[in-house]
Amino acid sequence: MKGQYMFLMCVIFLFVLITLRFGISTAAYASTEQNLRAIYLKKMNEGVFHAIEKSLLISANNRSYIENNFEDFVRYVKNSYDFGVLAIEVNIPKVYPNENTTFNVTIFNSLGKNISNVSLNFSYDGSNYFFESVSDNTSIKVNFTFNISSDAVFTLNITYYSPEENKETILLPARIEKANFIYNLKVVFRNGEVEKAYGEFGS
Amino acid sequence: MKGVVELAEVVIGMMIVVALFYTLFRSENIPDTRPTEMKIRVLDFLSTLDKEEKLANWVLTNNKAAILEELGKAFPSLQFNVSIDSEELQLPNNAYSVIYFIPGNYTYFKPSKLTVYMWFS
Repeated sequence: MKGQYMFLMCVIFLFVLITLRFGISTAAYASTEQNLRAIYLKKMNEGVFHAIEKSLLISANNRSYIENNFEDFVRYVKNSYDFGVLAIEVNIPKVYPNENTTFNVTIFNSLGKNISNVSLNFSYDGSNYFFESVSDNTSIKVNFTFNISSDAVFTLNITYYSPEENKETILLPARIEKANFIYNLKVVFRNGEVEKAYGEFGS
Repeated sequence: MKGVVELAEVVIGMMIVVALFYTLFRSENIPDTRPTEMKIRVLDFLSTLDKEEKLANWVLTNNKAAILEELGKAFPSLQFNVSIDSEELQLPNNAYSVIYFIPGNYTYFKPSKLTVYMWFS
């Protein structure tokens, strides 16, 4: 009987040793490496998002080039890093009281797929535009007009399908004697992470 | 019968000794986490330089020496080389890289890509 217990103890001892060596340590290291890679990817995404947003801000002094600069930068980064972006840019020139102000809205689709049934509705007078489709890596531009005697805040409602329905409501502050640029960004990264930003800068 | 049991005990004893040595001295292929850790730290460092408005100016003026000097001071255990806008470099096989995008600075729009290569000295 003594030999049998000895044998049983040995088998258990060996099993524990092998489990420790092959099971716990390797798995722990693999898990740590996986977590570190996820952190690295998240930081890369944040860096790219920050750079994309900055490409709008650094063009503030040259307002007629903001949209083009932004699109050029997105295309440049996409040559090396995989992501999709949908940008809505509103460029309001200097507003004078009791005079018509016509401003430009640009929708830039670089989501890697077409978006369809795009509609834009301006709260000031209910004017709207409709586009059946906006292809990937292209933009559309439309104009709206308002006339105010004092500062006001309008909304621009945008609906599109990609293929699911998406709705965006963008606040448009219009200030007398001031120009304003408003942007709404949605960036979708390879790992499924989505970053959004709304911002404005005036002059 | 007694002899057989004793023989089994000797064999098992030897197996235990061999298993112990194997466990202690076997070189297992454990994933090396240091490269990813260093890439995260370098990326954070580049982000800090960018927030201080230094990095964009160095990249736009192609001042690689300034970038290398800052990296060397921050990470003395690593060797670095940098490339701006996908310029080709001679690198050791164990080098790994981090990329950082720069749209320009507040006076000049110029999309640029900085690639920092690093390896352990």
